[in-house]
Amino acid sequence: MPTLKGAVDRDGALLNIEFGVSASAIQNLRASHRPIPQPVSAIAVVDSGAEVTCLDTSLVQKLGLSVVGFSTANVPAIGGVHFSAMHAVSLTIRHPSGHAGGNLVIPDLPVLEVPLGVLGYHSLIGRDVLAKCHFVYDGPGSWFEFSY
Amino acid sequence: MSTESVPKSQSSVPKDVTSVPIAPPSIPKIPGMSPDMPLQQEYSVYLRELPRLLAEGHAGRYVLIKGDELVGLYDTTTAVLEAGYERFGLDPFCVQKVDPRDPERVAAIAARAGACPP
Repeated sequence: MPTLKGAVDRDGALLNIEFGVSASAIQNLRASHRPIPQPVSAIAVVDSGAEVTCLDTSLVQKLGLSVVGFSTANVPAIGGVHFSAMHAVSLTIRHPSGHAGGNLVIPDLPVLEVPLGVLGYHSLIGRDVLAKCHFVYDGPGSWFEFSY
Repeated sequence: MSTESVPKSQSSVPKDVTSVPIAPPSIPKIPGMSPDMPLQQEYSVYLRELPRLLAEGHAGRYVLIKGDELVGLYDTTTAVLEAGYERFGLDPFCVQKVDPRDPERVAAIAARAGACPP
């Protein structure tokens, strides 16, 4: 089972994530001969309190994502319960070994657009992704382990 | 590890909800939602149909909506997104998870916005 280990940052357990246009959308972009935006990298905080993975507005704009729905999200840091736009993305966590087989790839993942940039990171990895992983957080030891 | 908790083959569109004609909704207006947000008509359809969907046991599933039409119900995010892009291509469509908490949350947002919930 591929495993990532890291030190706990002051913001928590941070992962480097690659977000791209969802696999289903790419098929349609190709079919209509439209350009496919390059994936973007983001610093993500693993957040077991987030039901759905969240993406900062700046990354949504870079990827040119269209709205595919809404959700009512409770984000105390930005004012409590509010409507958030939902977008479809692909998510890749690259394994440090460089072997593609060690990557975690989720080709079609609905994410919520939230203005996270002001908080210093660009994504929250929620329980929708954690449902596919094992996550160990060692507070006293100040390290975490993420395997999938 | 699989990237989808429910196999694609389990996704389904029950006959009783496929292409069900729905009466035209009233003018879409979602208190607390920015007026320039797209898909408000579809979200209005979702909120209107939510009690029925919950009563029929569809909580946790994903509904695909286009305009006034509830197109179908699916078990996974992959299935509903594939269906949406396959049917509508790059035209806008709306995906909503059938969530029993939504009426209360939408009411809370409406109350904060100083309006009655839709």
